[in-house]
Amino acid sequence: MNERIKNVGQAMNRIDGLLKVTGTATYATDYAIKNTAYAVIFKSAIAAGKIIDLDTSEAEKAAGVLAVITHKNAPKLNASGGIRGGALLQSPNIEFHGQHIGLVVAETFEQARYAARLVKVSYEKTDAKVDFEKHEKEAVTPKDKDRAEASRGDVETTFRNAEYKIEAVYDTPIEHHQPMEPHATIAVWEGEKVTLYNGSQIVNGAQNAAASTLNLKPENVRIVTPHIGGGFGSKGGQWANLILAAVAAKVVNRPVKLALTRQQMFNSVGLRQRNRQKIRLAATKDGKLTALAHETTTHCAINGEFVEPCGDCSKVMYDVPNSLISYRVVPMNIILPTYTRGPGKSTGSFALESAIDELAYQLKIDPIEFRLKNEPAKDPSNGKPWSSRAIVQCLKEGAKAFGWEKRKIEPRQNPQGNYLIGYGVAAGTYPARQRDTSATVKLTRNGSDVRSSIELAASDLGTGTHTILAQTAADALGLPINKIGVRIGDSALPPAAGSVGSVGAASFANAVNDACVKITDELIAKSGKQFFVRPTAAEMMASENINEFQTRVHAKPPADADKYSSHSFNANFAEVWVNDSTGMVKVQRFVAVTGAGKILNPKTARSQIIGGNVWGIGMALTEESILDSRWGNFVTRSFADYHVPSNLDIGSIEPIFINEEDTIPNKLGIKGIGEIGIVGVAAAVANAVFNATGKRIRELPITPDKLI
Amino acid sequence: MVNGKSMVKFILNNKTIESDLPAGTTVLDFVRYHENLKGTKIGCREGDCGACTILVGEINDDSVKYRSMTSCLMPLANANGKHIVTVEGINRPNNELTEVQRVMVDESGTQCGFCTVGFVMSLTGFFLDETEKSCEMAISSIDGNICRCTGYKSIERAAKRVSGRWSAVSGQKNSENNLDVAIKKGIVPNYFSEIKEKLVQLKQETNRPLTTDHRPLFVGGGTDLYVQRPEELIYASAENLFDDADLRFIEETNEFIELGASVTVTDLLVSPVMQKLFPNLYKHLKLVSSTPIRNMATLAGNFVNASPIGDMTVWFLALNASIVFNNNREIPLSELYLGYKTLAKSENEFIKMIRFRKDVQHFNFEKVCKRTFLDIASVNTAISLRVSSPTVKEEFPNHDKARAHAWATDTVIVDAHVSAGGVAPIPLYLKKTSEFLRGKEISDETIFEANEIIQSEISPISDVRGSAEYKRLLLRQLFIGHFVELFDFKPRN
Ligand SMILES: Cc1cc2nc3c(=O)[nH]c(=O)nc-3n(C[C@H](O)[C@H](O)[C@H](O)COP(=O)(O)OP(=O)(O)OC[C@H]3O[C@@H](n4cnc5c(N)ncnc54)[C@H](O)[C@@H]3O)c2cc1C
Ligand code: FES
Ligand code: FES
Repeated sequence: MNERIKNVGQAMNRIDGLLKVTGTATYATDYAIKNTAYAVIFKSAIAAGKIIDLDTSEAEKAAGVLAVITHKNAPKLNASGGIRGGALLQSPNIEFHGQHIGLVVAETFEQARYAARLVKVSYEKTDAKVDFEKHEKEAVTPKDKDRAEASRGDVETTFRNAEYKIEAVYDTPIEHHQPMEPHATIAVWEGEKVTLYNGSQIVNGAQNAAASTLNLKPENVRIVTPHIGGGFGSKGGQWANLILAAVAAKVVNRPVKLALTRQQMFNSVGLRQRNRQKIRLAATKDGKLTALAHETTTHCAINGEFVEPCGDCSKVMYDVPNSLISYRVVPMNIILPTYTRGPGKSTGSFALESAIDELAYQLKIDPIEFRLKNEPAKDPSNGKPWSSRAIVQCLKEGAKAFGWEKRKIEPRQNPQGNYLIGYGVAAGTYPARQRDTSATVKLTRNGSDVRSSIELAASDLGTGTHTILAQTAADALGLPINKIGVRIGDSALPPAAGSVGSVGAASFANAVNDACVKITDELIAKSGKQFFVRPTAAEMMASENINEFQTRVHAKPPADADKYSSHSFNANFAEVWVNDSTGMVKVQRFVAVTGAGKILNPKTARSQIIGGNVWGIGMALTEESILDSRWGNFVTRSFADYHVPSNLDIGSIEPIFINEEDTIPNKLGIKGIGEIGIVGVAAAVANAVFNATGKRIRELPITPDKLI
Repeated sequence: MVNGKSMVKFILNNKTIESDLPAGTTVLDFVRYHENLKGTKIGCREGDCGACTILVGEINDDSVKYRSMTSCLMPLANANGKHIVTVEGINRPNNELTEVQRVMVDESGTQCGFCTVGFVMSLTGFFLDETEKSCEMAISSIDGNICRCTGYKSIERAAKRVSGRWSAVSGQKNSENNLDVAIKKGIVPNYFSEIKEKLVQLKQETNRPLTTDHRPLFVGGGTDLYVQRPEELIYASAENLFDDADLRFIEETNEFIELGASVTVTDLLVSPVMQKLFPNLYKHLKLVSSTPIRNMATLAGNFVNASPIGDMTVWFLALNASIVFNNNREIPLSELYLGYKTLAKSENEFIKMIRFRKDVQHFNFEKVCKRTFLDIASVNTAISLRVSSPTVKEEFPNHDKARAHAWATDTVIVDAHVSAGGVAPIPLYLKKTSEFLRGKEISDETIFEANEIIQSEISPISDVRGSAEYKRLLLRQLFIGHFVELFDFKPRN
């Protein structure tokens, strides 16, 4: 390749920055579509039972109302079409508090909201299962094969006979994604075709689920979602609100806008389930792990199973001959849980990495040293070699950057005025994968001005997809970045993987790169010439006087990728200040070291890691949803009660990346960074709180009442 | 002004507009749905997230002052005669960015972007408001904005950079010509220089008629009302007290400080009179809600909302303040509360004025919540003490605990008022405790005995914000905290 300034790897500003700071980026409800009517959903006030009577007469008469849709008059839908969480108005049965039971469509939002309050509902209540403590013992083995028991060696005997061991239960509460953009849809029908403007992390997934549920062919459903106001898993799978918008638009024969309110978000679009994790760890006196058991009990919905993989980290983090990972789940009258940032790994690592800290303390071994003693040479869960594993580097470089040597092993050794200061460490991991993705690259030339358009049904939920794809294409085509247009977020474009599970960047960027390589090959072949130095596609367009050219690829992961175990790793260091009289905790300083393959853009990557860290700090200190066990509703249903971290709660955060080249999982060596940032964070904070106060908090969040 | 049918007239960005929509319509819905300005986002409609932040300008002391507000809680009525600025009103032509926008992009302050406009508006507002132009205050200006993605640290860097540049050239002191500087620095467009003249003219046209309806609903900043009953408020006939100039003053008389009922928390914060009396004003008030909410929340609204944990209520209870109604009836604030959300006030009475004795000597306010900032308190408390030898803790250098202790035990409390929130169905004036403290020395025994009395005066219940037992313990700790804070006096256990 020619000598050019490379874009990939540069800390570039995001190309959609201008749209976002000026408020001109269009999110789902920002499309100005003529003649739009407004729909407002109303919800069940009981958690289990059935609707006996539903009086909509007053609502129907209210000013501006166009239709009231309930299970009585809703069209028949395919409830197993891939929409999560039920609530499609197909029956009078109630499975959780806040299940959608109908919607009002009116000329204006205010009219719809007002009329929704006029609907009178009477129910027949049955006993609702909403108290996890009460129903925990009814939990059974999940149906999901990925959550089957995984065991090797003999944990029971080893544990029983061990001299040094920890057995502890770690609880994490229900948490909500609460992206800043509440889920919202504008549905526009044209004959049998419907266009849905709707935030979708998996564009084609949303298209297929909507089509199947609405009994349409996929080509008759178009999802448009160029900008997504955050998702964190809640806009991965799609929920009933998307379908109900389409149904409403069909019924009133007009475009309809349906936006969930912040309060409705709490029981409409999934959640992170409450987990009770029992960890047993045993080690020899000199700190070699001999047994690890990680047993999770949780809840799922009446109408569907979902169990987040809390045991995943425990599978790959440490070299331990005897291991047991298991899950149990009890269906309850709570909305279906779903993937939430760092699914399983964030919560699972809280349990595992707290327990590691507890055992290290028992052995009086430095927790970093303890981890280093238990480094596995290959993936202990399947025997595959690591494609790369940066955990040792992460721990060592982090210790240096953080000033770990100042930490005292005994707690309460660092008081300062009214504060107790503590240091904590925890490590984490997240798998790296590439998924099938198609992409089209188009080149146009006007004189010497060559431009390119990159097109695929990828998504950008703030992660920086637009920017990294422009960088990738610019380098691969030999064009300046401002000559690249990126078109994503539309199911009419070539099908792509989703922005979920940290597969987005790897899948999208490799597809784009492949497409650019292919178009260059094709242009060279077309010219019939031979080159000593491979020309760029841009040069070929000019030298061959071609005005328009395009090609398309379907990119797959490398054939050998599966023979290796590929993961990102991190090490997190927290310094906390605990107010000795009020028990309030502040994370004053946080260092996160990440080994996640090729970093395409350090600027957007830093944001991803810091964002994950702040989520982890929220998980550690403030986020908790509280269910009223009498009714099954959430008591915490606004930002005033459900505490996502605010800026002033967060001290300094320093993300550090390990330089890692690993082209085994995919050609570009991308591992993905959307999730790893939250893994191991809560544990680092909890471990620091122990170091500060001598109190081991095993139940998140660590609120002041638990410390005084 | 009476809501329902009436004309509101104001400047929206660079044009003057009139609307006959119900005056209870929120400014958010007005700009998004009726004006099709989609840059302002809907994140919660409850004042909690800041995605809907706009700037509101009005003439004050002969210059236009702007403050950030959450448009989701702001009735159109409160826009009357003002300059309302959405992001479209600061955007520049031809893809140029304002200084704040540019730095937000450079520092990677935007990810999904849904919160971004709110942050941009809050930061822009900072340069046009009356606070000191320091880095700390710049960061404080975004305390009402949530970023779930969460780019806080990048946004904070952006805030530091723009404010650093400002103060390097123009100093940190707030000045009368902020607006001119902001225009010159490219923080807001040039047309802002013409707004003052337009507002003067508008003022004559919109001179607010204060008419009373049969069953008046008094609206202050709307920050409680619009969270609690938004549907009702749009069409309600309401009397908007927020802009009543007669209710927006802070005055010092011989004996008293007198405050208009519609004085906002921010008004307190920037008032020289209050700053002189309360050296820790900023430190305390920054624990109360967030910048845009403080810009809207009125004192009377806080009192009448009667939340058991109302911060300003607890604050003024410890000042032994009294309130004056429109019919000139005056009662101590502590006597306003009869029971949970029941008030000693008739339907037609509204609060006109608040006053307290200005001989404040030692005042402290403490608040603990689940999240440090932007949260409702679990427990809050305030204390106001007058002592025989009015020493301050600075006189004991290096935190000389022993000397502080010796001084304190020699010092007699002459007058005391203590209040607490979150520990009873109403915000509590701790009468017995206050009485007990008078005439006592500051000693371990006094504090421990006072705490016993406190515990007998309160009746906390267990709820989301904590168990009853925890709240008792917390109030005890905070009560001790008052003495640590005021006199560096920590009782020995
Ligand atoms: C995001 C958010 C955070 C908040 N955080 C806090 C916090 O930290 N601490 C805290 O204490 N509060 C907090 N609040 C509550 C609220 O902001 C305050 O109670 C505020 O002071 C209310 O004032 P207002 O002018 O907005 O009241 P409004 O909503 O206008 O009115 C509230 C009540 O007072 C009545 N009223 C208003 N003015 C008068 C008058 N002059 N005479 C008689 N009655 C009157 C109204 O009729 C209504 O019943 C918060 C609110 C929000 C939305
Ligand atoms: S929309 Fe959240 S503060 Fe207004
Ligand atoms: S950028 Fe997504 S919420 Fe702030």
